[in-house]
Amino acid sequence: MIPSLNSVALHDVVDQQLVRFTGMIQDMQNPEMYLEQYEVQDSITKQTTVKMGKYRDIPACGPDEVFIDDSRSNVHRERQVLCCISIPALNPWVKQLLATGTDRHTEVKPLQHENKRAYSDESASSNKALSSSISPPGTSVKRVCCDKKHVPRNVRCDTELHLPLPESQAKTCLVKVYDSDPALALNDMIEVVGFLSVDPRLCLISEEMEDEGAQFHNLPGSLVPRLHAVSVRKLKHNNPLLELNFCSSADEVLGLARLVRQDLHLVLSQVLLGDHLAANYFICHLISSVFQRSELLALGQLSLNISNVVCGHGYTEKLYTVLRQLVTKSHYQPLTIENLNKCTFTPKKDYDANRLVSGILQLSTQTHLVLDETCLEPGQLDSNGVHNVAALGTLISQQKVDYDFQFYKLEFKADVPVLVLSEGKSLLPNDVAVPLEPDSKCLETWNEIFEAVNHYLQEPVLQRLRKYLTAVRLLEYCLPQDLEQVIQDDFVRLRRETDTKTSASDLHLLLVLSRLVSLSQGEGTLSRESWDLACSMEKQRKQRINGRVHQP
Amino acid sequence: MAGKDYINDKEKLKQFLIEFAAIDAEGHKDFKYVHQLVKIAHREKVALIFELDDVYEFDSGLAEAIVNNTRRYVSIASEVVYEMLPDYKQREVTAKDSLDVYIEHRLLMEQRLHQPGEQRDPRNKYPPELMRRFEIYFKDLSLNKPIPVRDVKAEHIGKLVTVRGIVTRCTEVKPMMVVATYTCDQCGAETYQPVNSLTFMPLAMCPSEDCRVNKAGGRLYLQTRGSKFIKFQELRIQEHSDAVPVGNIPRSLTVLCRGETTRQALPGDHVSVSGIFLPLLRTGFRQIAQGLLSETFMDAHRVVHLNKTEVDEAPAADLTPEEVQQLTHEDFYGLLASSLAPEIYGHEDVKKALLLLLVGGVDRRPQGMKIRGNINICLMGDPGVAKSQLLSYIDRLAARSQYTTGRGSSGVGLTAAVMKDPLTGEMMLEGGALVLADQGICCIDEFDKMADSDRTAIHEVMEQQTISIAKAGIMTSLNARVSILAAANPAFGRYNPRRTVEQNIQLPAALLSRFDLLWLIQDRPDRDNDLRLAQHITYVHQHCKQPPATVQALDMRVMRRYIALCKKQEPVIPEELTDYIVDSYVEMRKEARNGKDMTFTSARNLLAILRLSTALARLRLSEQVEKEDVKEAIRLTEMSKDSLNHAEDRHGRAQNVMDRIYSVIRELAGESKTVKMADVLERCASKGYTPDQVEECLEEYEELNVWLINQARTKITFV
Repeated sequence: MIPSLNSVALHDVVDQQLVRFTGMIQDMQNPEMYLEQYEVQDSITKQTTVKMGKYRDIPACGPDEVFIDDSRSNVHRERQVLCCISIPALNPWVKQLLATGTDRHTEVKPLQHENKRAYSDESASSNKALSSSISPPGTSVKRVCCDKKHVPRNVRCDTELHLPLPESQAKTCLVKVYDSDPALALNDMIEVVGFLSVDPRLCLISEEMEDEGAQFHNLPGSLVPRLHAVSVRKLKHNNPLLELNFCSSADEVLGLARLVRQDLHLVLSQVLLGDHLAANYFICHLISSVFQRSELLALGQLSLNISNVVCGHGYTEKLYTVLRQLVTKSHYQPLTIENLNKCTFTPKKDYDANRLVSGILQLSTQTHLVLDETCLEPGQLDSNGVHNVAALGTLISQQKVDYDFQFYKLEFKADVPVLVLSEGKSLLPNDVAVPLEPDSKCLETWNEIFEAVNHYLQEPVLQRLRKYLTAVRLLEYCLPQDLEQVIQDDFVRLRRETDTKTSASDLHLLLVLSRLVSLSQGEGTLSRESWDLACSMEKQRKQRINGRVHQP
Repeated sequence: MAGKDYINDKEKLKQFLIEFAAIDAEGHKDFKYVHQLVKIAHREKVALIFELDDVYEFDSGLAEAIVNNTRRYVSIASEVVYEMLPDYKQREVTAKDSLDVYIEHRLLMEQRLHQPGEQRDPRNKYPPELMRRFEIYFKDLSLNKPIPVRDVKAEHIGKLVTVRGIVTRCTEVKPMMVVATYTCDQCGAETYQPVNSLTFMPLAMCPSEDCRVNKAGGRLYLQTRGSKFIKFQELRIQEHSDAVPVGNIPRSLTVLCRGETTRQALPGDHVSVSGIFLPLLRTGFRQIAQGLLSETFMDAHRVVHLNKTEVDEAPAADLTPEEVQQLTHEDFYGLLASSLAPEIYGHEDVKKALLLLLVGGVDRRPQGMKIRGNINICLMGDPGVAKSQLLSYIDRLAARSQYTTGRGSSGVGLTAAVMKDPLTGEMMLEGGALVLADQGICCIDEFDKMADSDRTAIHEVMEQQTISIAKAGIMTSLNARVSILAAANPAFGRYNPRRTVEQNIQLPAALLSRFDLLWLIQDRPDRDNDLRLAQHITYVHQHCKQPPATVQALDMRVMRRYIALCKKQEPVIPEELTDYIVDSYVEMRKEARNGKDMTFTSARNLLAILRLSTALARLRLSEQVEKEDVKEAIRLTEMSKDSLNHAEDRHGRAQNVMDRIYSVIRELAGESKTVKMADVLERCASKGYTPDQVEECLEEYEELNVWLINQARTKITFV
């Protein structure tokens, strides 16, 4: 098994070793021109040899060999440089599973270090430990020492700028891709297998470079390892419980879908204080993903606004902890005035350092974003805050984020299910707003309910739920011909009955909802029952909203 | 490469410079390179630009050779020119700077010291770079289209390429050493060192004959005045946003400008750069460490600052025959209209109107008066009828546009504001959305929620197309030649057909009349329509694509180019149509007077019709407005009126007399709660209602608990 850079500390692997890395493409740098073929000359025998330059940063010269600069057999080629970071907003259970997974395999690791600490605390301290742990072979020990006092000063915060969310264990890695595949896009999750390049001579170059733009380019290998990719694979999901293309286990998971859905519904309706309708919507929200886009429309998303979250302090956090145990990636963002004004939400290009400074909204697909509006208090938004709210708005309504390239804005697609928790009507747009109708009994005992739920969510149950949520989302879906007529007739009827209050967007929503309802039951085709269920869910929800309007 | 005959090429270049002549319009021969050479010989010009188009005409093989190995040919050309220059000197040249004096002295020295047959030490010889005061540039073949920054790859190394992009960074212009001159402190001999890279290692020991023989160990000192420097600037260009593939980060390229190519661009400029793509040579330790990597740059030969229109218009010419075929479709007007926001279903007439807004009418300036050609449209409608989507689609489609909301997100608002510069403390003018959208489209959402200060200014923008500022001692008038596309929500949540447009939108008539078309988008249940809509949407969900409609929607880029093409037309209205237009207008006025019209028909409508019809003629790429255009323009105006008046049908009953009297009384009351009965009767009588009707109305509404009437029946109090 090839060691994974995600969990193995850098000093446990050596230069030129084959390693794995799973991460998200955070930035793409300019392609690098390198010598695919180069010639070296032995200064003693005057013999020249042609060598291959693929998968390496520094020419392999023997002690007496001299690199020939202008040889005719030098061949220039290009490779693409991707700046990858470990997938942001990864939940603890995924990290744990990944870490234990590699732990098992590292036993057969070819290059073993004697002292093996637990990985969790190791990687946290690794950054500090590293610059001293690598001693350069032979040459200029002094140079490395003096660059230590340079490096931690600016570089530490430099690497942090690449992370959308502050995470202590995140790793950054420069992946160099040969025969670049144009299908790789920003924010894709990829798995790379390649040769590690942490030659200490590389950081000497950064010393030399006065050119600011090149600074990141040449961050010391100890902090940002370079990986020469042999193979790059795009990941559709990152659930460690399922295989990558999960064909084998799919049937097993889907067969149980209905049962698991009941479990999930039970759990969610409990944590949503006995509100079954909200729980149904919650399930649909959890498995929603964008399946089609056109100019202004992103179909398939179901952003949810659960309003009327009135119970006391700490409820939203607890709700999030339950969610965090279920999905692979999620982020909880309390929307306070301060957060909105201070945080960077949209990524921005920094031309001085020639890199993309990340923002909270630079998330890979299927990262559940939970926005907590209950902590919002009256206050003044400054212009940054207004932009941030607008960015959240476009993300929710169109599933895209405009990255700021200063001279122009560039639109990047996103697929981030957004859940907004609010007391009243949310200030952000949403596809579905469900006012919570808590059971009065549950309201009093919600603390106990969470304890009970956490008790119920034991490993086997959790595993089933986690598998289910990922598998169901990736299911193929089709809308059968024979239901078309039913849907159309229903729509026309609805329009007539509700006196034009049903619009085209409602039909879009109904179709998305029915898709999610049938997917949640493990069915790949829409059935009459699912359609009716979706319709009745919508009807109940509308009644609830109207009821609330009329009450006060 | 070995077989290449550079000597032959050198001869060819020489011949080219002497013989090439462009034939101008009158058939005279213009020896343009000879003229350039004469100027260079007299130090009146520095740059000699070889246009490769000319070279190609002269010898196609040579031009290709130059494109593929430009660096080599630059030096060959320099040699050729250097050799030829003395022949073109017609008079003595006065020295312009110290380097000229130095060169003169050096030449004299050489003549004096140089005995025939003596072999000179090559190191003490003057390097040719030192003696040349001209620069050679190649202008790329016009056949070679600019390639995207992304496609500049390893295979382009050493070749002349042209790229387009936006400048993101530029350094100051600094002097760069081309030839370092040293003098020896022992023997006084001068030594020269040509510098070809960004860095150089200064010489220390004197290599001259004297010092070597005597082992004097003379030290060399750098002579700043004797050295040759050249202007140097580093640019960084980044590809245009439309050249970036989806999901990729824009790429950038370093451009090194020397001599005459410096100071051509500033950050934010759109430029087109031709230059040689080269790897950057590093020296010394860095080279070893860097080893396999080489940074690349472009050695600029030509930097052209593109203005916005050039960027926009350039693609207009590129409509391919297939695209033209697509556009010459029978019903291309309908096709173009339905290609606007294809995901928004229906609303054909609204889309047609928006299409005309994109194209715009023709500006007229009879005797200094300005009649705008830009078309303003206001979309009104209940919430959730895709107004905002239409706006944002137009914003994306238009070449130049601003999207904003009535409230605006910054303090500048819609018009302009005087701000204090945080650094210098000076007052400066900052343009708002309307100014920034000059010669484009300004999409204003939530038009009704506009700030009061903007509301007054927008009157001027919509007719005079300027913004006058008189704030903080700054008095000026800014151009705002914009088409305004506004979207407004009704004041009471839903459009109330019983009220007038002004009341519904809560905007004054003066402002509303400035819109050429006011459109009420309403959503009415209609079985057929609903069914088609449902079919459309289910298809999208079922097949994950837009249904194969009878017409295939056009690509946004094709649309953009076609619209740019249309905008070049300046159609006129022929004499014989005047009567027709006048008649139609009179007819409209008559109808408006008779009918119970919610809108107003004024002279502005006549102008609107003219604008719409010129826009229609533009769309046909025609130079004359035809009767059909006017008909269509009138039809659109009527449809827009209809959309407002039609609103009543929904509620099934027309505004009856009672309602009208009620609204009169309501109006009379204004803000206050009470109205005098005498006033009411007077007002109603002047409006032509009988006292009986008024009495009836008063009673009816009293029963409804809308108001109370006091015992003496002199006062009405609203509840």
